[in-house]
Amino acid sequence: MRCKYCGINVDDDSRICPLCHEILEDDGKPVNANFPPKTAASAKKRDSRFSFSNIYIAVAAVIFFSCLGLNLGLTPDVLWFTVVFAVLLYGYLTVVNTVMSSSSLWLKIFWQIVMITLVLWAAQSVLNPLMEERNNWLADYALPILLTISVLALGITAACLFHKEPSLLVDNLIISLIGLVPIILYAADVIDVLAPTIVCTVVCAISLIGFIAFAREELWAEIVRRFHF
Amino acid sequence: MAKRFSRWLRLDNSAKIFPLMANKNTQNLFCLTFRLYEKVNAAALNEALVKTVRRFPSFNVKLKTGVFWNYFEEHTGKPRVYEAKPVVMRRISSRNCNGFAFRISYFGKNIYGEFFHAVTDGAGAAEFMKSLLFTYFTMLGKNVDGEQKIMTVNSPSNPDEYEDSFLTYYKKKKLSQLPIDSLKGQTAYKIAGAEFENAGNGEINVYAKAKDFVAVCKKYGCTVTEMIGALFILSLYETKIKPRNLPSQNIQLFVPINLRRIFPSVTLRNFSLFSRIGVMTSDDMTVEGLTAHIHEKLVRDTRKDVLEDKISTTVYAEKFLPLRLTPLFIKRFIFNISNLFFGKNKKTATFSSVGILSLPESFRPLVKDANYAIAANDKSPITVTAVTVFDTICINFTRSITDTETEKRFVKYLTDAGLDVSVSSNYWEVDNAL
Repeated sequence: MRCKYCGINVDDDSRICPLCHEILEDDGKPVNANFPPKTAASAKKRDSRFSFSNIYIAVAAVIFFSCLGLNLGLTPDVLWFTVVFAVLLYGYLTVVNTVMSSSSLWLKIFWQIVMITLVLWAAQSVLNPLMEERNNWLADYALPILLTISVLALGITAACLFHKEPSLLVDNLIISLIGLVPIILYAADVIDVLAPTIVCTVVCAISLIGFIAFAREELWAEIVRRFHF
Repeated sequence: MAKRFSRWLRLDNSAKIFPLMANKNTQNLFCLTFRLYEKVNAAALNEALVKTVRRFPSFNVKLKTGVFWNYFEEHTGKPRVYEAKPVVMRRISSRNCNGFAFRISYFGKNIYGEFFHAVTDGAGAAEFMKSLLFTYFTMLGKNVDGEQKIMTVNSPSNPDEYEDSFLTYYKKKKLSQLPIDSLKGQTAYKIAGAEFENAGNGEINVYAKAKDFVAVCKKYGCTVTEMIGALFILSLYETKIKPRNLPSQNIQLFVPINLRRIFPSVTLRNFSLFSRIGVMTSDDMTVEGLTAHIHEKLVRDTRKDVLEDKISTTVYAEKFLPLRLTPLFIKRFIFNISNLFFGKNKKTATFSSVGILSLPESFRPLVKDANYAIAANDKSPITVTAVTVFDTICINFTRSITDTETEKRFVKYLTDAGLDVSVSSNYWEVDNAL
């Protein structure tokens, strides 16, 4: 079909000229053979006003300020709203940094450990003043157990899948090294109870030594590619 | 000689920057479309793609994030073809393309190959797509012959095909000897226009007979590249600058230079650099004057010694130890910040003249023509590419702005010169165009 205004041939059976937009014909069954047809849904930009972040922040703000009001109004001596804040923050960061993120597995686990520790720290800070004796269960028990579970879970996954997904080896290496933190804290007198720390350290050591012994080449190759500069 | 591809690849010199530049709205993508005479058989194309990817190790990869740089890891999965979506050059992510950094799709009689620039450049993509077409036609039982122009799936993969040719031709020089100033660029005219409210780019393809186009160029004593560049600059001036009574503006065209033409290389990865063609607009601009100016600039910028210096400069930056030792997330942060403050308005538009895309004669009854498109964004609201396949030259305009005045003026120049021109569009600027 030809546009009499632009003097061009229109290379598909559109009703209008692609340049001047004058109508070429009124009827028939026009088909654009060169491009998939534009639909309202395909052309629509995602409405960022209703993004996950905005909805979450709005809902979280309502919950937080309600709890803040209740807390200060009813039980001003125990500031439990800090725990609510930590849980809301944890929920947000879990979705953004863990579920929706494409970052490395070790980084996701690292952030999970940090965030869960933060929530537990908030809980401990609220509960401690209510107890007669100071309790350091976060550092003594929760942190070593959290790290032990992480290293075990990642270690077993890496052992099963490292041939297919060698990046798990470095993820496991990094988390196992982070798992040595409790023994350092024990040496620095921050941790008082030895048993969970010993278990955590042994699990990390087995994981490190095991992978170095049985998957040394794969581990080294993965370190080289991940850390090449 | 490059090392054997062993499960992972460093990004080549120019590819390193593309993942750093990518964000939710912008990604360096380009698309190579082949228009066939017959409707595409999706199942056969899918099978052909799986076979072809195995022949091209540098395409059979997924982009991974390292501590200091991104890298490619061998992909153990299979790619698949997709039905083309209306939004051209949609973002390619590890999630929406099965982890591959390219997307092969089809619609009617068209096959689209969309590539993230980190994987390859236009020349590399063309080799891949030619091989894919050859395999596809073979599977359909068509009588095709590669005529030594196709890397067939049965031919062995050559390690030189995935070497970083920038490193091959890099000559170590002192910082003071490198032309760093020439890479900085000047503040350029930014094309004005309302951006699309919806997602996607507008695309207009202009087709003409190649020999008629060459005849017009001969009249002016210039090449096809120089002619298209000159007409585009004039069209921009007459539709965007002159009607607004703007003072003289600095139009800066970014023109990719395929380095394989100057430095022998069979690499399928990125091996191109940019030339900047700058023109201060004025009322007395003519086609002859502009073609001569572009000719002079291109001749100067494609001199071997000039390109050697540019290669040395870009590789020097890559090898600069403090940069290498900076963690990737800090590099990205620094890059985004510097781009925010210093990177804007350094180019008006991107113009790529690919030249002749050489296909076997046996493809002639099967392939109508082809076109390249480069994604447009707010920094380069219009991109222009030109490619000749068989007897047809296709000039593609991709834009992120709604109005088509520049394209209209460009086509007017062609029709005034006596060329018989066909135009197709995705009518992104029009509702209910069909």
